Amino acid sequence: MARHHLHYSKKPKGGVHLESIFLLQLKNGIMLGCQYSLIAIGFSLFFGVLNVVVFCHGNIASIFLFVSSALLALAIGIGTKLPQLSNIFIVIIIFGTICITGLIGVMIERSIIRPFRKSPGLMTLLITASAGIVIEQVLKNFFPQGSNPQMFPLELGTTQYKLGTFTIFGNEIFIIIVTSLLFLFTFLFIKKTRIGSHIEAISQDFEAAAMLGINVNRGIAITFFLGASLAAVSGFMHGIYYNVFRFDMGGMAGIKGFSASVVGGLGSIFGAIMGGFLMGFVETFAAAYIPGASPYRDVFSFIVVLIFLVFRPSGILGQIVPEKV
Amino acid sequence: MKKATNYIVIIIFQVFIFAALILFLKAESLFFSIGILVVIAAALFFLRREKRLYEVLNTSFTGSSRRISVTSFIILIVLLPFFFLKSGYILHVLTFALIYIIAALGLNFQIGSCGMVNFAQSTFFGIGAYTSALLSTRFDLSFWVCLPLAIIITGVLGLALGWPSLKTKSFYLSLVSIAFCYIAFLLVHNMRWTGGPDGVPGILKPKIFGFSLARAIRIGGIVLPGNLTYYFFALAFVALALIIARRFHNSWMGLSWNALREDEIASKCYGINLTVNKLLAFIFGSIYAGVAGVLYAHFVGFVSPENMTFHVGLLMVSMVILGGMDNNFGVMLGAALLVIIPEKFRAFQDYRLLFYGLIMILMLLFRPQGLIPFKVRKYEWKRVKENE
Repeated sequence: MARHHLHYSKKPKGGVHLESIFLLQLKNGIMLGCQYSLIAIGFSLFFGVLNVVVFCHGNIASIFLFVSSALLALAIGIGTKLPQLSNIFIVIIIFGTICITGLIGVMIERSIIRPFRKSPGLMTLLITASAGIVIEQVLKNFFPQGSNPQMFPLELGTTQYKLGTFTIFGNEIFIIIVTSLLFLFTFLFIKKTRIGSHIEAISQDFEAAAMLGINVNRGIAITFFLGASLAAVSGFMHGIYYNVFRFDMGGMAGIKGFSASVVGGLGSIFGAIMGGFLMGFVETFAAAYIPGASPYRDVFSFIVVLIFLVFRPSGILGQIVPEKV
Repeated sequence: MKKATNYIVIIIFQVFIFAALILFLKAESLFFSIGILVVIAAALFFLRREKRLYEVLNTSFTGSSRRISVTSFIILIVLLPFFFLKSGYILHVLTFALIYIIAALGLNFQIGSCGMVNFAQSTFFGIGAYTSALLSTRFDLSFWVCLPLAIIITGVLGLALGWPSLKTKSFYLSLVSIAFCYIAFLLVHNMRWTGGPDGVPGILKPKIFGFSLARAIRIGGIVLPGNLTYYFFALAFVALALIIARRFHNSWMGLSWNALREDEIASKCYGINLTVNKLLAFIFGSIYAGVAGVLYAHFVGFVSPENMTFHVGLLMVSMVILGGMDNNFGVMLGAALLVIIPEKFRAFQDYRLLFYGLIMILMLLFRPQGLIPFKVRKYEWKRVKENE
């Protein structure tokens, strides 16, 4: 389970002020929170439009990592001969793979989620959970050396920036900026564009939206494309932050993202973001401040999930909907 | 006259299935075993088209020929291991199938009867196994002391999972069980007194009246290996588990479970106590998993955290889905198939999970009700029969 969380090796050794430890943990929490909330947004979007939980959503992030690292390794190989082209190549490859991953999300919806539109949501949970296993095993068995931990070939922003005792790396600044831009983009896309309002209409009432002439299937396809590409970006963040990934990281990422969106309130994008950061902070601060808790850090985040589910199942931002008969 | 032909048809069908199973297990080459699977599938397909034969076989365990089909089935299942006296491995696989059948029967209370998808059955399996393993290796307690203790502990923990589940529904309930599964796994994996990732080795096989089940029995020139005795030991537990599960299903409790699966609010209005019924489903389901875990620990002699991962929980869920929700026989068939078939394809060990995932997807897409679907209860028919 997430043995490759390398940020613990970045822990400062004795003689550092308590404040700077706190700042460091805050930074680590934000890093994890960025990754979790990008996945959690997808869960919330899918739950919004179709009332389903797409359990293989975390595995979509690992698809991105495997495909992009294979392509990047290839491109960097070519790039050594053509150095001036390699940067453009890399950007094209990253964007191309994000689009491919988005299309895979659309494909998953077409092939295994659409047949269950009218059946109870648990069927979708089960079939997507199995799809997650299939994706994981395909990556493990059909990628060369798939069962070993993989190196992400792209090293981004290794320069350090110092503010007193607080150090921040270039890639960390990159992650924070890109994630906040994506939050803004998603929010504006849903609230301000025509397609976004279609998606909102679908999530309020599926049939009424169809009757008003909204192309429901197109709206759902766009939602899945958006969600899957956000998961792909989350995978990219993971890749440039840890530089290591494994075939089985997707399952845990999915469960964490799902928990984050439930904690924030399923169906709400802003809630998903808050839930993601809450999960990230609980994990890092529990590991840092509770003695001997480092191997149990996931236990703390799951306990938070359990507490939320029992005492506030609608999440931080969700509304309590009375059950209709 | 008609009855006699029905009996013969049923017996021939059962013998055919068992013969195919024996050949499948004995087959050395992969092509042969795949061929047998194809033959069985083809036979079942043609049976489907013969309306009258299909009707006879479909009602063989419920209709008027129930007694004869159950008897012949029991005889065949008892005879089955004697075909593999030389091969300890196949006996091992068959015993595994029996152990997983118990766990799947327990999971069926929650998924099949109540409609609550619980991914934490592997946790209770693991807790039962660990309880028994730790007690018997550290304190030298015998199997017969460990078993009731494990039952109590898994029952109490089942209650502990059931309590938060009362307040949640559908996805949230599944998430509760997933969180529970991960918490239990991480605790067992990281704590020292559970043996950590190395697990607990050196668990002895149980003794009955001073006779260890690990010992081989010699009768004349025939040696009956220890695995054979354990097969029958596990078979006795399966029989007990099945009888209890059937009693549950046919009781008021089973009916209330089905009612709350269909509509919680409506069943509440009819005076069904949701709290008690849901908690009972969790407690009994967990106890079943715990007993299966105890049997597993004493059979294999080694328990590790790998037995209680989320993947194992998903595997148990797929047993119930594959076999047929809320049908005890279906669940048993599903568990047996998912244990036996992948073991046969050991050459493709790496692809085992892929195989499970694909089977689940195909089943859910093309036959979501499972191999042997749940049958609507018929109370009318029974009353008529009693009056006769």
